[in-house]
Amino acid sequence: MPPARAAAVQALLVHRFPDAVPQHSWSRGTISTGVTALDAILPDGGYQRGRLAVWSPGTGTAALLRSTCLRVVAEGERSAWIDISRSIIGACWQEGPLLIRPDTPVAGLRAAEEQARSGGFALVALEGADPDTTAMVRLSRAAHEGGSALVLITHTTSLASLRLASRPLPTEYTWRRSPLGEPSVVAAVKLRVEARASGWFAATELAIPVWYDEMRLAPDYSFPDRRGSRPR
Amino acid sequence: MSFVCLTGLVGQSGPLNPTDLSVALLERAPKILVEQGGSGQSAASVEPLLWADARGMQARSLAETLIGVLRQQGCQSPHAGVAGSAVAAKVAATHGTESITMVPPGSDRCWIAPFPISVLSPEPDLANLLEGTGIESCGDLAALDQAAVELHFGAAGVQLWHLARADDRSLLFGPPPPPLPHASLEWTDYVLRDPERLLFVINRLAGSVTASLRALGQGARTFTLIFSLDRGGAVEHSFHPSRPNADQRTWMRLIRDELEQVRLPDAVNGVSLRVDVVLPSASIQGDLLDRGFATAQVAEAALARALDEKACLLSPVNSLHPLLRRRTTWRKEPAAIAWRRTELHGRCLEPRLALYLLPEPEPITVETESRRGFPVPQRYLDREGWHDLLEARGPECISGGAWEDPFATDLYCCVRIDGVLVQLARDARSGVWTVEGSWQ
Repeated sequence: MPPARAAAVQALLVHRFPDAVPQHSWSRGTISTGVTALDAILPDGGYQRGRLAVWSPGTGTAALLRSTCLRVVAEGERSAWIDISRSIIGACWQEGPLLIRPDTPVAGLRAAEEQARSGGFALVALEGADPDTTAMVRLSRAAHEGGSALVLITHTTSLASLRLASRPLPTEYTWRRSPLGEPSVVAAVKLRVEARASGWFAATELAIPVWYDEMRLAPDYSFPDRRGSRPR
Repeated sequence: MSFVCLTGLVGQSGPLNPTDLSVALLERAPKILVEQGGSGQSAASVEPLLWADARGMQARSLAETLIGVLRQQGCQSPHAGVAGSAVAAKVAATHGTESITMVPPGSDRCWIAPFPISVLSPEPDLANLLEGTGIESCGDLAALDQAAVELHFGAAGVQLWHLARADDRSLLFGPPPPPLPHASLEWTDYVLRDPERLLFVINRLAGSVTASLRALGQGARTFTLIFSLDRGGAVEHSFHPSRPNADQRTWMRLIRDELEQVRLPDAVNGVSLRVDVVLPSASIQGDLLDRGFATAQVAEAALARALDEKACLLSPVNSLHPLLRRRTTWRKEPAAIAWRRTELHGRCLEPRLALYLLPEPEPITVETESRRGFPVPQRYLDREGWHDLLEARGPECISGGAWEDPFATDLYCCVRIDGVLVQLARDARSGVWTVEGSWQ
């Protein structure tokens, strides 16, 4: 539709429906993290739309944020994961959120800003960036204008309305036992998650399972299956 | 003059393959059509024909060229008929006495009038009926009234009547595509060397071209910017937007990014912008009840901008390769993926720690102890310092790749004293230890 006609239609809508709320204002609210215990310690019961939240890098942060991205998609909205660190492997990536991999950190920041400002994404997650204050200002404004919840995994916490940190509690891990009764693999990890906001501090402990990629041996005439054999 | 009909596709050893001939003719004519024989009753109609589209061209000169090509290909006596209607061109080619028979423009009907009705290849029943009525030539049939023809000879008779009047409605060639939009500007009083200073001119050209594209309802898949150099020659830069679009801002962003890196070999005295490949601006059918539908278009546009700015939209294609690092290849997705809906439920939504690999394995120094014949790490030294391990489980012994890149690796899942789960690897052949990644 030509811009002039679009403007005319918008003017007509405002005239006929003066109480109508613009589209970008529909979705103000919060996005549930998908983990009840985590929602309980957040000031608004989830990530606030239009705000910037920061996770400090650590065990469990990516897992919890991935889960939130999946939940957003399950509820019919859209989420994007911007992977600057290039550390995601395909076996653990579930279809649903859109995975964007920029060539450079700057391109990643620009991509995050674009997606957050567009209003087409309920949640935008950015991993692997270390933005300076200027970049944080831009990202914060983009999130505010687009109504997206923008969540960063970074050490930079300035301008973040919500700061989260996760710390594993290794003494309380759940181990799966071998037939000999020895601990063989970690089945679940217990995390202590802390949430900080202006005038707010809360913490909780939660256990999340560990997912292992299937180890597939490759029988080969020159490198046979070496399980149980003595190393050379 | 619109049509050139070519017959006599016979060589010394017999009929030549018209498809092979058409390939040779296409080097000289923009459009060639092969009409295999077999329709109609006359012997002439069984012979294959070649048609050339002469619209907008000098028909006689094109016919001479094509006849020359046919002779080079081995045709003994090729004939060409040139006319404004296909039926007249066909009659001229098959019944003309000269190598090239030209039907004067606007006289197709008069020209075919003396020919017997059989040149129009009527069906046998209709031919008998016409013969019984005393209609022998095309002119006889053309002189009749359409209502009378329809009454006596039916629909097939009307169809033949149209042909006899050289009113051939068959569409041999589709309409020529409209020229793709382009714009250019040249100047002679001065020259420019700095590409940045050309942005103003390019912006105006882009505005003109994108407006033309929008009017056609199309978007450019590829467009080219051409700098005319002062001492002759030109420098071309092609652009491939992530989705077909006619958005001036997107074009200018792409061009600006390119100009930042351009070093022109000479001063510029002209700029051209042309569209090379276009696609229709498609609208995608969505579900009105879908919560993401309302915002799909803006999401697609935002993704397209990100893709234009050195980013990729990826989805994994996983194999069963034993090495995790080689298990995944990433497939690039278009921005239109924003319209896709994914159904997710149940346990797949629950958080779980998954292994994140470092971009490259990081070499480390490891202190080990022996367990069941394998060295098991106790602590390791990386760039951050020593890390004591609470537990180290493994190894998972993986080997293979004899045909390409052999590998033999022992993988250990370790819990550091600070609680981080890491994967350590030992190359079984060289004994080198590395950190592969951690569970996050």
